[in-house]
Amino acid sequence: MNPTEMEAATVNGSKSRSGSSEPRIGVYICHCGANIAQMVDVPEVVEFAKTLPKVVVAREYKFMCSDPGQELIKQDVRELGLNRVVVASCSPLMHELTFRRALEEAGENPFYFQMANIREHVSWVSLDGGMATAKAKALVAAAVRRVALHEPLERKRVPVNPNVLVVGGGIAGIHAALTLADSGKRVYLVEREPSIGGHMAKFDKTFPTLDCAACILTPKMTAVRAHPNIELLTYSEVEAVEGFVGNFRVKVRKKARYVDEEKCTGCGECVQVCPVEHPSEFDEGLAKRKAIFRPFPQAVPNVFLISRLGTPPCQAACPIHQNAQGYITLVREGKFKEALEVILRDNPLPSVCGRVCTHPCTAACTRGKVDEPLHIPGLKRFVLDFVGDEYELPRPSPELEKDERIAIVGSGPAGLMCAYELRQRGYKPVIFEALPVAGGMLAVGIPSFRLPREVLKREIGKIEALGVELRLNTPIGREVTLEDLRKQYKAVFIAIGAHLERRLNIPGEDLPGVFGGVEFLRAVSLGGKVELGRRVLVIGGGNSAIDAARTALRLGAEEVRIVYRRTKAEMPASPEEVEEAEREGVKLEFLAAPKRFLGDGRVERVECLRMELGEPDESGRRRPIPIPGSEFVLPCDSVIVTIGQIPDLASLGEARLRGLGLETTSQGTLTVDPVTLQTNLPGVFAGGDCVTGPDVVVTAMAAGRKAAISIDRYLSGLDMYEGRELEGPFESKIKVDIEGVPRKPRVPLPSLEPARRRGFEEVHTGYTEELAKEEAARCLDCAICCDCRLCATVCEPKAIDYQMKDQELEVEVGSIILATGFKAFDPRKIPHLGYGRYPNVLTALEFERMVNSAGPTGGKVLLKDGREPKSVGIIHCVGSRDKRFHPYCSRVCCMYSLKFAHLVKERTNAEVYNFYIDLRAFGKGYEEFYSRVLGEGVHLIRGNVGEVSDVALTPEEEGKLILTVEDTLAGVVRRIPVDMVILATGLEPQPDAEEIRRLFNISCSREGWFLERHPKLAPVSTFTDGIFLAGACQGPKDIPDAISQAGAAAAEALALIDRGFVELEPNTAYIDEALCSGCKTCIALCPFSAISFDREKGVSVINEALCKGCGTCVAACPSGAAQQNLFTDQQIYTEIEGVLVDAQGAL
Amino acid sequence: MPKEPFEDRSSRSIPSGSAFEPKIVAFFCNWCTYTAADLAGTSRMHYAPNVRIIRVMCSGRIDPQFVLKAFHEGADGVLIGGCHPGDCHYQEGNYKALRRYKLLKRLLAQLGVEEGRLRLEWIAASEGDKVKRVIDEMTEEIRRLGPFRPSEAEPVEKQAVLAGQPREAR
Amino acid sequence: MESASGVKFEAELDREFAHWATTVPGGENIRECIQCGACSGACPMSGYMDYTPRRIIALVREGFKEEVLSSRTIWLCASCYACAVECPQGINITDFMYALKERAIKEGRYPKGFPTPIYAQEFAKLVRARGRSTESLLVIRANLRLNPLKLLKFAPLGLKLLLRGRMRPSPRPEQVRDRAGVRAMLAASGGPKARHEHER
Repeated sequence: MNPTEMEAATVNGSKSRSGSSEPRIGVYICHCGANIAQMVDVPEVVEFAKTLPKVVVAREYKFMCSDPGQELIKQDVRELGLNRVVVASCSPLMHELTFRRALEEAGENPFYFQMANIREHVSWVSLDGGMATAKAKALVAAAVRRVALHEPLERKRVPVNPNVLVVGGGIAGIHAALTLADSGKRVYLVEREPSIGGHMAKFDKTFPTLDCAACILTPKMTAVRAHPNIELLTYSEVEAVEGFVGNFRVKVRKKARYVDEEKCTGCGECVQVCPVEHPSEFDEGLAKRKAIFRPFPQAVPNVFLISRLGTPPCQAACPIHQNAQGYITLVREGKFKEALEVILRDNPLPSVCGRVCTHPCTAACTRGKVDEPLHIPGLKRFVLDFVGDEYELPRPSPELEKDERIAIVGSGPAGLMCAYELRQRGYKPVIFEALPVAGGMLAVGIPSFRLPREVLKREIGKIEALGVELRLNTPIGREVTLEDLRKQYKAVFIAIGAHLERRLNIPGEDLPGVFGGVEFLRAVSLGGKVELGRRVLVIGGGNSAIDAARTALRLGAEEVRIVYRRTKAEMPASPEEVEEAEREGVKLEFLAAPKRFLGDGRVERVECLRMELGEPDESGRRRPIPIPGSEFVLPCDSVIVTIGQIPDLASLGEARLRGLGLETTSQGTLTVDPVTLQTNLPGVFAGGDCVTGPDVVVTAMAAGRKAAISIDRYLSGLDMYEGRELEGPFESKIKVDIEGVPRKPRVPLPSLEPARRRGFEEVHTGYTEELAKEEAARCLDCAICCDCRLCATVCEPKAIDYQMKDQELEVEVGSIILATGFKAFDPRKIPHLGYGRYPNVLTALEFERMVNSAGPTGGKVLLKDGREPKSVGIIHCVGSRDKRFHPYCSRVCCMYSLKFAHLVKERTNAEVYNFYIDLRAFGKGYEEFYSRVLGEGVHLIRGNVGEVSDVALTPEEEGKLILTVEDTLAGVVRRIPVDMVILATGLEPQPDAEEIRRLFNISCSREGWFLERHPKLAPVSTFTDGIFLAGACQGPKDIPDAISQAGAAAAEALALIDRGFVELEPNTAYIDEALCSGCKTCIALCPFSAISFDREKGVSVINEALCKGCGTCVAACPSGAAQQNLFTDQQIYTEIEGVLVDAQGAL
Repeated sequence: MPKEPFEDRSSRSIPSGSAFEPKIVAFFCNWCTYTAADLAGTSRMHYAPNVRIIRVMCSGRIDPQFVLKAFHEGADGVLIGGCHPGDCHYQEGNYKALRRYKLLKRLLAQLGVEEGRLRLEWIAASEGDKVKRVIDEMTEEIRRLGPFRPSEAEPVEKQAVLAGQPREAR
Repeated sequence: MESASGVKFEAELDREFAHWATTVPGGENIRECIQCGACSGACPMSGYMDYTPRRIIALVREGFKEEVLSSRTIWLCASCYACAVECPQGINITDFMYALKERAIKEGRYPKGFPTPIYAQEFAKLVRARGRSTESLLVIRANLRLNPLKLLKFAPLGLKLLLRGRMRPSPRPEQVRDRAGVRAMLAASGGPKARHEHER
């Protein structure tokens, strides 16, 4: 209901009886029994009041708020013609309403009334009677002066929306919701967890009746689900609350379950196949649940949900976003075929990547913070090796098939990936490859002992099998030119890589025996002969240099030495490649660079200069500076120069390129748009090494995919820039807590012994099945759900939706009940009790789960090693009654500790000891229960345990936890050995209580519980009208009290709703048009946007319906045009005068 | 010292040792500070009887003129109480009060009013003990400063310097 | 008047003592003790004491002056502060024990033949007189009061210490130059004279 459309209703009889004639004031001073009278001299104040201007009568009475007291006022109004009343008694927050009503019943306007607070603010806080009386007089004087200026006001009525919002689905929330729903009101029950039930759902039995908690709770939960008047919003949170009593607008966020609540039947098939386990929150970490789960079998609603935290670090860091967590988890479970499917979702060249990728995923792996990151490429390669040839790449769906043909120049990783991605989108790519083999650097750069040729051929073959045409021996730039391609194909992707040698340009470089790295490796790969000598020098420090060096060894060289101008730390080659090279016997010469090659007919030696490191250059590495006069000579008979590669743009026909206007950079690479990879020629895209310069395989593949997406959008006429931020590596938002993870280093990848590395067979032999599973088991499940999508394959109702998003709803209600419950105290804050250090020290909630028959031990009381305890100690007051943590008593712990004692006795033969300070058994049946437990032979020892320790002083204490305590009743200090310790942890407010209370505009008490309006008289309402409290969120309480409070809150909400309207305090602000200068100062100040500007009249206008009565605009108004009813400037000025009536030295 | 119940001490005065009893006017906002003062009363916390409380709905209602009026009528000190920032029942009223208070402080300093005579405190509804503490502290502070007699105040510049404001050119 | 049965009459208790306890350091919140016994449980010496720390506080509060000041408990306190750390009401029991010790010495009441108070007194005497303690002298003087025969037992140890240079061979006591200054400092900081004035 739009507040501006509200009707204002007048309350009858609120007009002034006497009209606006001369004020006739009656003053009444209350004794309040002895509360006021014992400190304030009431007769003296009465006499004083009689002297005040316009006072007709002044009286005193014992209890003004009582019937006779109020009758006193009414009588005087009738008989003495009073038209103003002052009552000096308690706080107006207490009885202002009472006296206003009395005045109204007497026929006067209720707002002709003012209270002076001489109890809470005077008699109760003073020690000096004289000063207290003086203060009381001043306050009475102020009230008398003020009330003379009061106006007859009318209360506004606002209708109340009959819907109710209940926040929190524990027993209190459930009971409140059912009560309200039964009365016919519509209830929105919002619960943060996936199921309602709260803490009570975790208990086994409840005290003192030992009723099974589930038995009494689940019928209520079911009733909630079935009730037509209750809309149950689980896994949801309140985001924003606007409005006021009777008219709240609440925004609720329904979090994505990734399971459709309507469709899920709760069959549980998905749980069987889910490979990820996670500690169960419901079982307090004592058991595990799967990533797809239901908090407990009787959950309401009885549907599953998936913990999907987002993109794990490995997947985020991978340029092609391989789901490493997914396939690693499946490997761990032995589901290798399923693992392959996960891999093939994003990568058509997995065997290649598993062998040669530089694995940025590993650098991001969270496990690296514990010990060593997972060997992710090794695991990927294992899957492919295991499956062998028996697989197919995913086929594009027939509906997507298109006729457009795309030309791709180059069959390296960029070109292959682009072709694959285009094919998946239905296009028909044609790859033009200049060399006789496909694969680019994969085929002619990386040696076959790192990447076997059969493996590469197989993977490329599978891409071709999808319908990608591959034309070998077809260079572009001669018979077929770039312009031809642009004419014949819808788009072109240039991925020619960087295959041109970078030269040293020093004397002797053309001597026979001096080879370029690219030329050398290509020749070896294509099977050509290379005249390599016995002593080989390799110039350079990148992966190509390492590859060349190791290849040289295999070709029979006796000594191979790498010469690099910086040190090992600056080598751009992968550290593991360098390591392998050293293992194979390659020598490394650092801080040296060749000056010239010398030899007669063939290179015989190289003159080198020593280098030293200077300031860093653009790459961030320290620049090598030649040391003059440091020449030295290295003998050799072959040199391989691998100092970098550049794209062979000339092969594309440089003149033609210039003619076409294709832009290039100063480094000789192609210029492209970084987001779309389009060159400056429309429809011509480029990616890979020909754009970036020499880079790694996976980056080229990412470029291939990016170009495919761009080409698809280009040909479909879609925006090419939108939504592309997550292409390429990014940082995962997931933070994993690694505390307590036991260290286990990486399983080394099996490889051939260096001695056995003769020919070009593959060096790394890869993981076996057991080793792979062992390594995969180290994964920390960062994102929990690993996106393997196995659950969807077994879900018959097709309820699983991975694309689900959070939903935002808005509900309109008239009242709100908060039942958000409590949190248990964390006993890690008390280290000497041993929680977290000793495995058999449990919290109360952990023990509840243990004894619950549906819990992790099936209801048996067991130690962590599976044995039954022979003795159990239960320590009361953990975190409660303690000034260091919570000074209050948590109310329920003594009783549940007795309950635990009883349950242990029932299920085991253990000796049970309860250690308490004072035993609180205050409720119905509680003392009897205490007696019963005593009768069962439980040791009730009055003493706060000083220490829990495993240090044994006698043989009987060995292997036990020893509690040192003074048995104060027996009068002796004791050491008591037990097997298990249960800590009766206290209750504390929810950790986000502060934020919640701000949302609803209520207050918290000092300990953090929601503040009730009055601890005795109004325990379920708050200072904010329309918002009520139920259950432990208001303070620790047991189940009967929580339910009582819930009923009470529901009743108060019903009272509000059934009345149908709310009367607003008429302390709204108004603007006197005549005085308003139109300065607009007030407009921006109003937090409720209640003030608008009337352009015609040139004045500000306040919308009374929106005004809440804060008065900020009034204080700011420079002309005094804005005033607040009940708090006008004049009224307050005169109150100030009154309050200082006895001040000397007034100016 | 334990108090016997029902003893009428209304006429008994305790000599305070000092003749000067400060008179302090307090403007307390209804939702937080006034409620906290009620709580102090309910909890029987005893504090100096020198403060007279005037209730407003929000500290944002407090016009600086109220403060001046109070001094004019003979107050030796003025105390403004509001909700903690972020907790205002009307969202932002206390921020407005803070702004006005800061400006008012500068003005008062230039008029020769000592620092400490005007005080602003954020007191939440549950902080009854803070009400006691602030009132006791302020009473002592004003007692130390003595009665409010601006005609005998220090020269303007010195006061301004004492209040931390830059010196005005003469 | 004492009862033959061990029942304690009100007249035997000392209200002033109970009130005094709330005025000394550590005793400010002694009334708030909930008698939980955490102090006794944490105290490493509680097993050796006649009254546990908790019980001492219970006795102090009610005015059982005799029992408290003649107990061994206050002298066995090792000043480890475990009790003060664990007390849920934040009572500084260790400091309170010191106050009880001071009072016990002042009134000349401590268990007969108990070494700790004797050592404390002799140490204080040496420091007050000369500004320093002399270990050999301390041991001798203390044991002369306690049990002279014990000195014979200490002789072999004393000899070893002498030979190893851990004890001064000269019987002359150690002292500081400004002895009067030390005495003045002690008096100003609340020595017996100053405290006496304060209590009046």
